[in-house]
Formats: sequence, C-alpha cells, structure tokens
Amino acid sequence: MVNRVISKELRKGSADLLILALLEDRARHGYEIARLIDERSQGALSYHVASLYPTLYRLEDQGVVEGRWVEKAGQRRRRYYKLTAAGRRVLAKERSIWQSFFVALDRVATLQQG
Amino acid sequence: MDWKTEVRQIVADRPVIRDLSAADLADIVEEWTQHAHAAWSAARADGLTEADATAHVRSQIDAWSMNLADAPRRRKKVLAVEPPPAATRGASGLWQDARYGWRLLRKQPGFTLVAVLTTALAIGATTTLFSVADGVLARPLPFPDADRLIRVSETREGATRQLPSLITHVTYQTWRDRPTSIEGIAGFRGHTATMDGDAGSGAERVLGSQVTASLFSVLRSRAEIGSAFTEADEAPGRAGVIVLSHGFWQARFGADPGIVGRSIDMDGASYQIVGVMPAGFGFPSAETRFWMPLNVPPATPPEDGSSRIALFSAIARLRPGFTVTQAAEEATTRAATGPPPAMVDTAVFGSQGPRVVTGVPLIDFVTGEVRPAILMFLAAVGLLFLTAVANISSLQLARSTTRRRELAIRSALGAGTGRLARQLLIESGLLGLAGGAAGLALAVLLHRALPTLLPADFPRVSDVAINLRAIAFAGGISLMAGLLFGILPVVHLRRLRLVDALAEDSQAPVGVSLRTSIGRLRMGMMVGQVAAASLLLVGALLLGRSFSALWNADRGYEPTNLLTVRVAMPEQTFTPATRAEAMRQLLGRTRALPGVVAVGFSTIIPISNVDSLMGFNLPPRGDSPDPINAQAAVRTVSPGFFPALGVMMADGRPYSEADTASAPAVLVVNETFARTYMPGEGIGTRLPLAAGERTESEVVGIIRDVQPATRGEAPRPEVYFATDQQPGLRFSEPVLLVRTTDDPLGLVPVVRQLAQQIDTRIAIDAPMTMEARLATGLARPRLYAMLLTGLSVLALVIAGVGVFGVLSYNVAQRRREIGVRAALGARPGQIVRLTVGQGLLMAAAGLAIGLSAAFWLVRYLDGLLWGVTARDPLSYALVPIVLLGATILACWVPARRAARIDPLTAMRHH
Repeated sequence: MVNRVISKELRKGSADLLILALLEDRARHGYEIARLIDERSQGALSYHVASLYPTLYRLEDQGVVEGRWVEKAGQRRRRYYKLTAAGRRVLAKERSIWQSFFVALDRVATLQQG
Repeated sequence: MDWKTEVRQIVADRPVIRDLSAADLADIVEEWTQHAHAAWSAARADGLTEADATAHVRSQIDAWSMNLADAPRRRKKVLAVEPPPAATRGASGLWQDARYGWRLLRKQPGFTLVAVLTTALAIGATTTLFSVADGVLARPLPFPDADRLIRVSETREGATRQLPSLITHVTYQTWRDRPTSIEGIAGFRGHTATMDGDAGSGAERVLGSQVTASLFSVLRSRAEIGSAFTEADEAPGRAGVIVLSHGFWQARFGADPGIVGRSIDMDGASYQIVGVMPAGFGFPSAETRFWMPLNVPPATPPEDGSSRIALFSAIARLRPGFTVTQAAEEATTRAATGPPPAMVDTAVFGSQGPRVVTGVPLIDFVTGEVRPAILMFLAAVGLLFLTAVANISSLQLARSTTRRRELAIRSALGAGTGRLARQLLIESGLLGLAGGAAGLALAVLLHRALPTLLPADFPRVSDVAINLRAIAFAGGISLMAGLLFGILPVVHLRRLRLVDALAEDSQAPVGVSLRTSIGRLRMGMMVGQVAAASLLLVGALLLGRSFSALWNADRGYEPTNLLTVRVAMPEQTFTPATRAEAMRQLLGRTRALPGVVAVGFSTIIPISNVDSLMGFNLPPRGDSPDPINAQAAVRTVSPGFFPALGVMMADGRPYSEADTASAPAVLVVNETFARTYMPGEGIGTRLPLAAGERTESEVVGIIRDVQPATRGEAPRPEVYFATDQQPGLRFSEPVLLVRTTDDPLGLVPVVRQLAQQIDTRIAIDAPMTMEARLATGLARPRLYAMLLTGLSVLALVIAGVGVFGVLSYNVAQRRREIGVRAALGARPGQIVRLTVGQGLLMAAAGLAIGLSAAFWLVRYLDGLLWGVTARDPLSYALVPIVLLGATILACWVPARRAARIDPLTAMRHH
C-alpha cells in the first residue's frame, strides 16, 4: 500500500522535483539533466529520462522553469532550462514533503543537498 | 546517422503533433536531435554497438513523443512569465512589476495588439479633436490683446434681408470721429486684383483686401519691412500705395529687401509698395496677399441729391473695461446722428428704419459657425474613447478571471492585495501608455492631413498644432485609460477568494456568464458600448440624411455639366460699352465650340459671395396712400442665361435675341418677386423699372425660384434685366455659363484662350463646374456627415468586437453546460438561439438606452441639420436594423462554436 503511494508520487510528483532540484543552482540543457538523473541514480530512474521532455515542457507551461535557446561561442545553439522564482518557491515548499521519500531518491537527493 | 530526420519522423507519427505550432515543433525537433546525437555518442563510448546505441536512443525519443500527449505545449494560453518576487518594495518593485507586465503583454500579442490599436484609435481621434478645439476655439487670435477685438455689424429696424456682417460708411464715420468705448475702428473688404502673370502667362487674379489705415493699429500689427499706410493714403485721388504679405513678397519679388519704393501694376493702375507684413500676419484670412487703402466716403450725402451706401466689414478694439454691448449701444447712438436712411437702405436692408449696430467678440465671429460642430465631435470622440476603454476594461476583466489561479498562487506566496492591485494597474497602465503613444503618432499624422481634410474655408486651421498642451492631454487621457482598464480587475481582485480559486478547475469553471457579478458587469459594459454606438449612429444618419437632402435639393436649376467662369474686366481698363462688347464676342465664340449646348452670362449667379441689390417704389395698393418700398436682387443677363442655367419658366417667356435697346422694355422676375410685389397680377404687368431713358417695363416672363445658395436659404425677390436693353455692362465681373454635353472642365483652356484673343486684359477667374461650387458650399455638411459616420462605424466595430468577445468567452466558459444540454438532446438550433439570444438581449438593451439618449441629445445637432428634423423617423428606424445586423454578425461565430460542441469532448475536457 505504502509502496504504491510512493511509486505514484515517484511517477508524478518527484520527477518534477528531481528536475527542479537539478536546476536549483544553475541552468542546464535537456541532455545534461538526463545524464545527471541517469548517472546519479545509476539507471534506477530511467523512467524519468523517458518522460524528460514532456515533463520539462509541462513545468515550463506551469511557469516554474523557463527554457531559452542560448548560443555559446564555438557550440551549437542549445536550449537551457532554469528555475524561475516560482519554481524556487515550489521547490522550497516541497522539500519538506520530499523528506518522506528521501530514501528512494537517496543518491540524487544527496547530490543536491551536498 | 541523421537524427534530425529520425526525430522528425517519430514525432510526426504522433497525432498530438497537429496541435503544436510550427515554431514549437521546430524547437522540439532541434532539442531532441541534439540530445540524440549526444546520447548516441555516449552509448557508443560505453561500448554499445552502433545498432544497439541507435536502438537505445530511438526508444528514448519514442518514449518522449509518446508522453508528449500528456504535456501538450500551450504557450499561447498559459503565461509562462515569472512573477516578480513578493518581497521587493518601492521603486525597484515598481520597475519589476512593469517588466513583468510588459512580458505578460508580449506573451499575448493578439490581445495586446487589439487593445493597443483600439486605444490608439480612440486616443488619436480624441487628441486630434482636442487640438482642433484648442487651436480653433480656445486659443486667442494671433494679435496682442485679441480678446478686446470685436466684429461690428449693422442692420435696420424692420430689416427684411439678412446681410452678412457688414457696416455702412455712416456708422463708420460717425463712430470713428467720437469713440468712447473703443480705441479704434477699422473697415475692410475683399478685393481680388487683376495683374499680369509671370512671363506673359496672361492676366492673373490675386486675392487681397482693401482696408482702412486704422486696421493695423486696431490689430496692433506692424510692418516687417517699411511701414503700413496712413490715413492720408485713404483719400480718393491719392497715388495708390500697397502693403504686401510676407508670402506674396517672397513668391513674387524673391524676398527683395529693397522692395519698399518699387511699384506693382494691378487692375491697370500702378501701386507703390510701402511695406511688407510679417509672416504670421493674415487678415482677414491667411490667403490675403496684399492690402490697399479703403476709401470710406463721408457720412454726409453727396450734393447731387443721390443716396449711396458704402458697405464693408469692420472690427473695433474695445477700450479696457468696456463690454461689447456698451460698444454696440454707443455705435447705435452715434449712427443715429447720420443722415436719415433713404431708398438705398431699402435696397440693401429692405427697410428704412433706424440704424442698429451689434457686435460680437472677433473670435466668436471667426469660429462661431464651426463651434457647435467641433463641440459635437469632441463629445462624439469622447463617447468613442469611453467605448474603447469599456471594451478593453472588459477584456482585462476576462483576463483577470482566467488569471485567478496565478493571482491566488501569488497571494498564497505572500503578495498582498495591494501588491497584486499595483501589478494589475501597472499592466493596464502599460497598455494605456502604449496606446497613448501610438495614438499621439496617429494624431500627428491626422494633424498633417488636416489642411486637406478640412474645407478650405474652415477657420484657423493653421492655429491647430500638436503642441505641449495636446501632448499633455494625450498623456493624461492615456493614464486615465490605463487606470480605467485596470480598475475593474482590481475591484474584482478584492473579491477573489483564495481557496475557491485554487480549488476550482483551472480551465473552465462552470456557471460563469450572466450568473456572476463579473458576467453581469461585462454585459453591462457591452450594453453601454452598444448604447454609445447607436447614439453615434443616430447622429451620423441625421447628418448624412441632411447632407443628402442638401445635395439633392431641387434648386430650380440643373447643376450638372455646367461650367461657370468669372470674366474679370476691371473698372480702370474697361468701360461698360467695351465690357458688353467683349461679353458679346465671348458668348458668340463659346457657343460655336463643340459639345456646347447653351451659353449665357449673368452678373450674379447662385452660390456666389457677391450680390447686387435694388430698392424701388411701387404705386400704392389697396387703401394705403403710401407707395410700397420694394426691394429685390437684380441681375443683368444675356438671352441664353436661362437655358444655360437650366431654369424652368413658371410663366411667360425667357429673353430672346429680339429684346434689344430698340425693342419694348421687358422684364423677367422670379416667382417670389411676382408673389410679393405683383399679387393677383402676372405676365403683362408694368413695373417702374427700366434702364436708360425708359421709365417702365413689361413683365414678360416669370421663372421658377432659384435657390440662392446651398443650405436651403429661402428665395428672395429677383429681377432680371436683359443685357441688350442696358447701356453697356457696368458690373465688372460677369459670370459666363457654359452648358455642355459632357464634363465641361476640358473647355476651360479653350475659353481662356478665346478671352485672350478678344482682349488680353481679360482675366479668367475661378473656372468651376456648378457641381464643384455646390460641393464647396456643402463641404462642411459633407465633412460633418462623413466624420460622424466614420466615428460611429468605429464605435460599432468596437462594440461588435466587444459583443463577440463576451459571447465567445461565455461559450468557452459554458462548454460543459452546453455539452450537457447537447447530451440531453438539445438541438444545435436551440443552442445557437441560446447564444444569439444573449447577444440580442445586450443589443436591445443598448439600443433602447442609445435611442433614448439620442432623442434627448439631438437637439444640440439642430444647427447642423438642413432638410431633416432632429426627430427624423427614418434615421431612428435605420439604427436598430444596422445594429441588429452587426449583433447577429458578432454572434455568428460564437453561436456556431457553441452548436458544434461535442458532448463527449466537452465532458472529457475536465
């Protein structure tokens, strides 16, 4: 029962939080986010990578992240996502709830708190 | 591996794609392509085979595109703009709010464009009208202490003829000699001079003015070069002197600084140039190119026993502390000391009663005729402005309703009501200011076009400027508009209940529309807009019908295919005999031209700014032993005149070639003359009017009345003399009439050439078709009708867009309700009726209010209407038809949309 609740949260809510957390200190592009999730969870959260862009777009629509094409010298134009102020507030608010499934997201969460 | 093609193919297979914009799709393809390249390289680096790496990446892209259906991009609707933090205070907070507002507006370019355009139109029109009212009505005339300048007019007790504002030499002389209430009086009258054109291009006509020397002191104006002339120059027999306008001096004399002392030939005489007036000086009009002395005869009658009246316009300067009324009383008293009025007074005024002098402030005289129109248009654009503001206010209200969640979240995050209100007001203010800036630009454009838009005789056009006052006005109403846009959403904000807003469905709460206070408020504003539009429509229809009545009025003559040409033959170079001979030849040669149907001339034609009047005594009639003082307008005409003008005979015959000096003296009069002075008599009546040796003539023809001007003026008694029975032609500017089968303007060069062949000193002036004369005379009514039509159409469009907006919004909000209705068996027709019914309800309410308001307000239009009453039933009847048509148009799309709602989709939507 508890497992089911947690897995539902994992599927829906925490994917968002994961991404918000990864964007907390700097803007990143989609591949970078995917790589970080994959690396830090060692493939455990591959579902999130599979829904990465749909999630990002939804978050963008909700106004918590903002995507922007950025051109850096010598590189291709890339779309970087950054946390909006609203996103920061959501992240701060949700951190307390987050603690309840901290274990499941151990590696990623540790990375973010460190 | 071409990932771009790969990505595009995978994405294109998903049905959800069709809902994405092309730009969004391109973004996605590029982003995923980059990701695919990086992921593929990483997989290869991890040791996967090429095929495995490709399959791995492809499955990822596939997964994204599958899940895309759950997260459709809806950037157009959702405001992905980061609100400013709640914590900031003061100026930096204001700046942040402004930036946030600006980005929000940019995220909704459609709404912003409509709002800014509507505001710009309203503010542009309002600012232009303000600058016209300010420049024409409010600003003082461009003379020192111009508020003390008055225009003086004279009439007679019991006068039957309304003259333009003129005074007689008697009033001028008696008042000028002993003025108490005024510092000075000046007389002036228009004078068009004939002079040789440049490089032998034939004689040319130049508009100037004959003025008393006192004009310059009354206006307190000095010459720029040299000096104005003095009273000594007014005496008859003095060598002619002339003062030039700045423009004439530049155009004709190349701004020669040594101009004073040179002479100029006009009307066959030589005038010495004594001065040049400064650039801004233009009196009585900006087109005046020169001033020469006006000789005012002494008040005492000539010793030969004749009586004469010199008529001219006059202005005076009040002494400080005196009023217009006091001045008029003084002038009336002074004028009574002159010789008693005589027969000539009957000729001019239709009465020999005592002289009565009146006065009005000069600015009122100059602008009096256009004042009601300008004020009416100021009110009309004000109404348009309010309509536009109401419309955008209503749109803002709708936006704030859909933004409930955003506002509620911000409120939950700590933004106070004041902060949110400030945010809403700043957004509205931005809209107002953007609209205001565009409106000001529009006003500048309109201002540039004013000289071409306004009729030539519109007063003070050059005094209209987009100056600091106009800019301040535009800024003020922009801010006001901004405030009004935002005030309703802010009031609404205070009612915002956080929990409700957060709890309800973000997409489409049920039960909006009429049942909420917001819905009712928006409906109310729509009703107001429809009312304003219908009020303006009534006005426009009345003015339009009035113009149409004026244009199509039966004038007693036929204005189409008729050329009128003034043939100027000045006193100095022509005698009555040579003039008559020149006209005889010109008639003969013109008649021979191809396409000419009839040719004639008259000393005076309809729609003319000159007239020729006559007073005479008729034998006593009835019981009274006194002779009857009769008065009539008098014209000398050639035999061809009546057919050329297209006048119908009411009785008898027109003149013929046989009516010569040796034939019996005959007369043609108009119907009004016959009715007034020949009651019970007709053709064959003998009147004591004749030229030369003869003492009476027989009336051989009565013509149908000819309308003297353009605006429905009542016909006056008129007498027509046959030119061949007169000893020459004394009038120096007869008008040639040429009736043709086709457009007559092509004849102008030919007629000019013929005149030159007859005598090079003849100047052909003002060649115009009769229709053009009519159009010029009716330019103001036409402008007023067109302008108000334009404004009312604009108001109608704005109101229509508003109704459309409200209904579309309601349909969107009631999607679920309509879906339920459809599911329960409501037919599309019933659903259409539901929506259209709402629109018609608003239109009917607005119409009722607008028509009632119109019924009360149209009396202010009275002065601008001819031929229709302000209660014209047709105008009132047409407005509902137009409005209902527009409403059905505005309802059409929302109603169709409502009818097409699929119950299943509508329910699943939530």
